[in-house]
Amino acid sequence: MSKKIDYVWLYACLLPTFAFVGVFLLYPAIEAFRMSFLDWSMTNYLHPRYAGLDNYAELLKNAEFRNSFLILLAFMLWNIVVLQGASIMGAYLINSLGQSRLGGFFKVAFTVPMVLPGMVVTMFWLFFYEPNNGMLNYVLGHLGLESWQKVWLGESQATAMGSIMMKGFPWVSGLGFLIYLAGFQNIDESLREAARMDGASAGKIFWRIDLRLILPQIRLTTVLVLIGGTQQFSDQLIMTKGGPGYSTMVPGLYMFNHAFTYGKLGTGSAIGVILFLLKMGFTLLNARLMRERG
Amino acid sequence: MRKSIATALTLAVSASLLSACGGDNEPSGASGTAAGSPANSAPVSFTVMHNQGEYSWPAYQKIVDGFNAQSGNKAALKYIPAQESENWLQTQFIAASEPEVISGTSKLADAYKNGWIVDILPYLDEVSPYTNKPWKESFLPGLIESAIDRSDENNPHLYGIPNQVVTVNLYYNKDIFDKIGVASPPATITEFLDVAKKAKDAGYVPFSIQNSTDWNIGWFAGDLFGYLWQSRLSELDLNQSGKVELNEWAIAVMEDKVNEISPELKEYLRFIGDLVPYLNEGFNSASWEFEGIFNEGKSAMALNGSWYPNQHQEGGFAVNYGIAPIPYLDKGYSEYGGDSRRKYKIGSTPSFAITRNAQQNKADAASLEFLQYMTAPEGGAKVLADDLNLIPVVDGVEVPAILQPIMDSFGTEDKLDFLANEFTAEQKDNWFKKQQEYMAGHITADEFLNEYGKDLKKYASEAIKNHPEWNADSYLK
Amino acid sequence: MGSRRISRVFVVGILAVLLFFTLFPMYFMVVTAFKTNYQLSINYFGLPLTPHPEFMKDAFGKIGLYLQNSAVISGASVAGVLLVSSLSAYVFARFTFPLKAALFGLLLAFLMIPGILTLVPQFVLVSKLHLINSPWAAILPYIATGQLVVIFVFRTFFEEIPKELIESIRMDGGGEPVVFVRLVLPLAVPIFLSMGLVNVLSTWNDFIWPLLVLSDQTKTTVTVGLYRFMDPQQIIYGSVYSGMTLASLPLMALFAFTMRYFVQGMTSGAIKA
Repeated sequence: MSKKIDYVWLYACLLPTFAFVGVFLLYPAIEAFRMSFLDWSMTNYLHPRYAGLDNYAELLKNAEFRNSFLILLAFMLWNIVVLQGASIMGAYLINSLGQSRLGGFFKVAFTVPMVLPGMVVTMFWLFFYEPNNGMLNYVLGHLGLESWQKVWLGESQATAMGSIMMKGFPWVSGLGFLIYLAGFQNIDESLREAARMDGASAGKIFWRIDLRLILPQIRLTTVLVLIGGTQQFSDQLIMTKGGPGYSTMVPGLYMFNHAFTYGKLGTGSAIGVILFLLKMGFTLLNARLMRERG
Repeated sequence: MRKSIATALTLAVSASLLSACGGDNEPSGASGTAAGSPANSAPVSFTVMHNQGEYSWPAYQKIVDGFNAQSGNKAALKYIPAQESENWLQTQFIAASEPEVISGTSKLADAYKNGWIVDILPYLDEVSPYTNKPWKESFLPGLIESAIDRSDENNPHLYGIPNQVVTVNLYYNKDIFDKIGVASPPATITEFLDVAKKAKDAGYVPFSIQNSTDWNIGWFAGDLFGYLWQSRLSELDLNQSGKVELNEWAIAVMEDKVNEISPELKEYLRFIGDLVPYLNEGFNSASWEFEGIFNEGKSAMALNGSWYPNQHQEGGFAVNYGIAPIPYLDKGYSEYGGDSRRKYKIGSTPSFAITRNAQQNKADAASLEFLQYMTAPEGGAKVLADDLNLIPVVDGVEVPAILQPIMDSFGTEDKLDFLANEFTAEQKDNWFKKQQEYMAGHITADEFLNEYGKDLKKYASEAIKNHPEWNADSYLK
Repeated sequence: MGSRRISRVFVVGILAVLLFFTLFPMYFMVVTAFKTNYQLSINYFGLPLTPHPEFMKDAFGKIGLYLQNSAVISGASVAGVLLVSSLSAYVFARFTFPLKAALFGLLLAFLMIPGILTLVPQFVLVSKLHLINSPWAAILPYIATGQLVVIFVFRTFFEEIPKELIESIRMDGGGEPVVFVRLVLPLAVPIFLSMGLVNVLSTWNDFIWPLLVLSDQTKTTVTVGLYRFMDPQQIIYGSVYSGMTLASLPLMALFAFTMRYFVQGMTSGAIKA
């Protein structure tokens, strides 16, 4: 395809993309690094001071900030193990129904809630945990379990984190579900058939064949959680504001609070940079693993 | 509505925070073009931002309509929910997209420093077109004085105009009190804890609060600290103003006069600890539903603002309530206690301010006139008192009868505010969150105070660094 | 054979239970939208015996405007993303030119930049451009970030278009624009739809950014508008749930007819990313 092309036109077609990238991604990214070295807050908004690595040093000294990474880790592990487990199970069960009408029905039915606006889902769960009229305490009350009733989002770290983690139960519906379902459907049925002939139980077939063959999908979703999960904080912002105390404070929310509630733009940017480095680490790690596997 | 006023009140409680944060010498003030007589120029369009809840909208609309009719200008209201207004304003200021007249932020001093709002002080002497007298003569004696920032003695500033006097009071359920055999509302902390115990034994929630924000415990604390620190006044009050301002707290911290081992703070936490058993369940995540508990007759007592009687009336709540001053710290409970309730000067904090955009859009004169109208006895002040039961800031407006007892509790003393836990917004939030954990029993009082002391000097020096006009170094030799 | 049937019944049983819990919030949302607070307290889960449609009307009065704002923002962002990324993806797929690999690598690198890094400076930038409370404050950054994945997906797709087809059009004297409009675009309709839908969903659901830049009550999106529905002072559940139901309807309607493309888009986008 070596037509004589006027390169100018090619670059002109690329211009919009790079203009957008330059203005709204590259420039802010550079700014983020620059701002992270400034002592810049609402009290000296007009006269930011160069502060070197002070923002970083302050943050690393800060126990609440360090702790927020442990909290984030707990959330991410939960997402990787339990949420992925649930979607794998859902996808596996539907796939085992084969091409039947029932299988098709379940597939669609589990996909529908994916298009519910995220805020609607969050609000439902907020109501679910609401202490006075909420659904959970209502049900507990009617089962005669009044003593189990709690202020779920406010009582302790255990109840607040547990409540956020349980949000979205049974977690089948989601991107992971779609990815796994596609994975299971791509597995050659004759593999399973052969194993069955050898007298393998359904459980064994699942462990030996299905699960092994969707390993690439499991890795993909794990990477997605690791990479995407570092910056999630809207559930915490809406449901607990990071509380009670700092018990559900994740780094993203810590950044949001610093920049937009405490008015400390420099510190906020420094947290952004730290999270960027973290995400970069995960990405490079992933790329390296990928290369090692060939 | 209440939330917004509550924000204002949190400020009222820490009035001197504002008055201690100085502006620097940046010329950001109005250019002297402001204030003309009404209806002698082309109509000016501008926006007035407020964060008062839906029930107050008709009253605010009435004020704006009245102003537009009399001045020939075109003011319009913009509502931002109270829980967002602080953040919202900050983002609008950065974006230079703030409305011409704003309210609902505690950070007016910072906003002034950044050139985002206008100093109103020079205009107080001008004649208001709505009273035909100098504007400052409209206000209750001493009230506007309390809103002025004098932390930079040579450069006093007024960042905004108060439009109501906000107080916090104890509201109690008379029926419950009858049942548990309490004849009169508790005047002291000792009596308060005693009543609370009786209410608890009878199966009621003794005292309902919301502790998802610092609006309830913070109010209580504001009153308690006035007693707790009183004996230290002469030591801490460097400029002999009768109050301890933010700069004086910062200096006290740097000189180790205030720190995590201060017995005053231990005493404060002892009371909070004694209070916890009497609170509504789930207080740490409770929001305004604490008021619902009181409205439904389930709790014996609650703290609330002077807006509550109006809420009660509007909402048609059944609860048969009484109003009393917040119980004061008495000698019987604490060695820091007093013999009687202190009577503080009437005061208020700046609320409605004129912004940089008002100047840019040539609406500063009209905006100023709007503030004059809002505080005019025949204009906005009357609407606020009549329609919203707010305590007026000006003479010549009748105080709603229901609030008269609150008016009577004012006197001539200066209130001493504890500000060494709010040098920065971050520190304030940190204090609040740790207090939540203390109240939930996750940390002890000593752990709380150690935590507080850990970064105390850092926050104080941050404040000192950001306020060169304090001249803190000259004290810190 | 018998045991397989039993296990099939077992599987369907588990799936039915999972599905019940998955769909239950939607059921609860719709029935509660028609209940007064009192009805909710005496009949928590059941259908409303005397439905109260006035909450819907009340909620629509508030949420109609938010829906409109969201539709404008999501619509314009998606149109922008598709336009911008189809242009550059086509160039990357069809031509060789100096710096091609470097430029594409640069785009790849930007996929790694998390939104959280740029949140604060992007806000300052949009502020300086005086875009706060204008739909462009959301649309332009959405295009900038949304285009990246789409370029990758489109590039792969365009590369797979048989060269013979393209040649035949060129033989007839059609220039590149003709090839693009007459051949490539029609072929790409499904993938346009897929990527478009994915972007509709992500822009519609975004919360933090519109909370910052579109905070005006009249300018904000449905996600932020709903958030503000939760006034804790006196929650009228019928009204809140009506708002939630109304906010869900447009997406439901859109996706009802395009679910297949959406599923495709979600999976292909994820794999590329």
